[in-house]
Amino acid sequence: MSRPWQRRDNGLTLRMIMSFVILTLLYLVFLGVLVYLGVGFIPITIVASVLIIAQWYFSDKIVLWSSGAKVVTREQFPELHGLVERIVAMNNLPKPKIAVINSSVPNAFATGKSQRSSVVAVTTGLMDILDSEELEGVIGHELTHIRNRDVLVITLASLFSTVAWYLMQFGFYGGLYGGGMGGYGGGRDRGGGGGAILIMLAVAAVTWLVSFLVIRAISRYREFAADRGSAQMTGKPVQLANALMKISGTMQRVPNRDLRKVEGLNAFFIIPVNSGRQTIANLFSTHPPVQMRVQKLLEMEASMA
Amino acid sequence: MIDTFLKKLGKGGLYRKSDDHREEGIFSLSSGYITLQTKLDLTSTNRCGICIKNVNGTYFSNTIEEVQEFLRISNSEFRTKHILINDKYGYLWIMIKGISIEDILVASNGIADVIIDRGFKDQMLAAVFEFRKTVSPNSNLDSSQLEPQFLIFNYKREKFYPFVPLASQEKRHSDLELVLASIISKEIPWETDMSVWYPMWDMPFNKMRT
Repeated sequence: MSRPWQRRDNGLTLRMIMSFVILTLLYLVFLGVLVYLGVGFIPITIVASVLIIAQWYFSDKIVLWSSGAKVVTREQFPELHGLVERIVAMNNLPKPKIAVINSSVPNAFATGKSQRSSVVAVTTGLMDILDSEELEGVIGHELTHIRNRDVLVITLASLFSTVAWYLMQFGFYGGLYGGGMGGYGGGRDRGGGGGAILIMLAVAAVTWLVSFLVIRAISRYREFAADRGSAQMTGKPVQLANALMKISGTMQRVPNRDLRKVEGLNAFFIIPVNSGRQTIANLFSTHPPVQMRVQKLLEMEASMA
Repeated sequence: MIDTFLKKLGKGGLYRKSDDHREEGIFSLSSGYITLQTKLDLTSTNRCGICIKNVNGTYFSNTIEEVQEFLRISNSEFRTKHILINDKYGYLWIMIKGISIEDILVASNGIADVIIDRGFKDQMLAAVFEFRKTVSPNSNLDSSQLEPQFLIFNYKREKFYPFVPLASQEKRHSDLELVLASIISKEIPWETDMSVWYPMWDMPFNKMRT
């Protein structure tokens, strides 16, 4: 029974630990530099902490409010509730709250601080374009995000980035202010202050950039993990692949016009297969390219056959 | 004329090296079909259709005459039957039925050789191979899964892609097509660009007596 897609994701755990170690080190180095430079450290920390805790505590409410998602009862959406219940029952998971967003854009997300308080939200557009098996695939994906505590993981990961950002801001103004005071004081520290600001800004910028990229990488990896989890939950990776293609509009690329009708348009046959990957764009995106996700799902499907 | 056909049966014709990958492309199905059988319970119906753009003129009709002659002569060797059908799009279909998939692969390749030798390579559109689910007594497949599933070989791009039409409407079973892709795309020359997975509606497979 040990097929590749069924194995536990040790790589994920390792990557998470590595990412946190790297981020923590960066954070500490950054703090160390600030402390060394004598920036008003305590006020910065207090403000940043309060903001982060608030962000964390209200995260699900903020997300639901900002997306316009309404939690719905079983009476309002019996089929959607039934579908979610089937998957959670099969996989021994707590049932999340279900929310619906009145939007024609097909999308879904999961949020929540803990497994029990989590919410899965889908748009009406998603329910319109997907059949029930494809919808199961998407719900499975979101349920895996919940099971893997991805909201917590990403929030914690973002925390470092956020802290670095705040410190950079405070550090920047603090540094200017400090430098100015030094000037009034007789010019003793002027030269040193200017150099320090530059160093500090450089360190802050690097910290922020690296942590930003690491978060994006974690996020992309969590997406693959959620796709795999969904495939395990539903046993039908190809349905999620189908759903992903529909959502991304890739499905519209599969033509419906007859080959015999387009044959005259020879241009169709000389378009080179697009193999060039946009690596830079990939670095900054939170989701891996759909084609790659579909490919992985199809590999899972092949290994299950 | 008969000499030409007999030569084709020998090494010089059928298995000659060519500048294109058409032969190795189509022949990859001779191992690929086993994968379809073991992993998807899809068996070849041993029927295929070669779709050629019709040309007015005696040279083309002579060529088609030669193709038929070739099929008649090689009949004893490949055990194939064939019919010609003109479709509403102005294309000529050479429909072949054999005893095994090798028969139709060799026959379809021989046909292509004749047509290309006569300079009509650009008229060759596609070779379509038909598969069906094997029905085992205790299977509970829904009827849609029993519909034929096709692999289309595009002669222009020399690649295969899947085509599973929904019965009686111009729609496709995209999930079954993706399953096909997942199973066989590594084994045969595969069209990875889905935007050229052009369907072929109303193929004259039902016009052939089985």
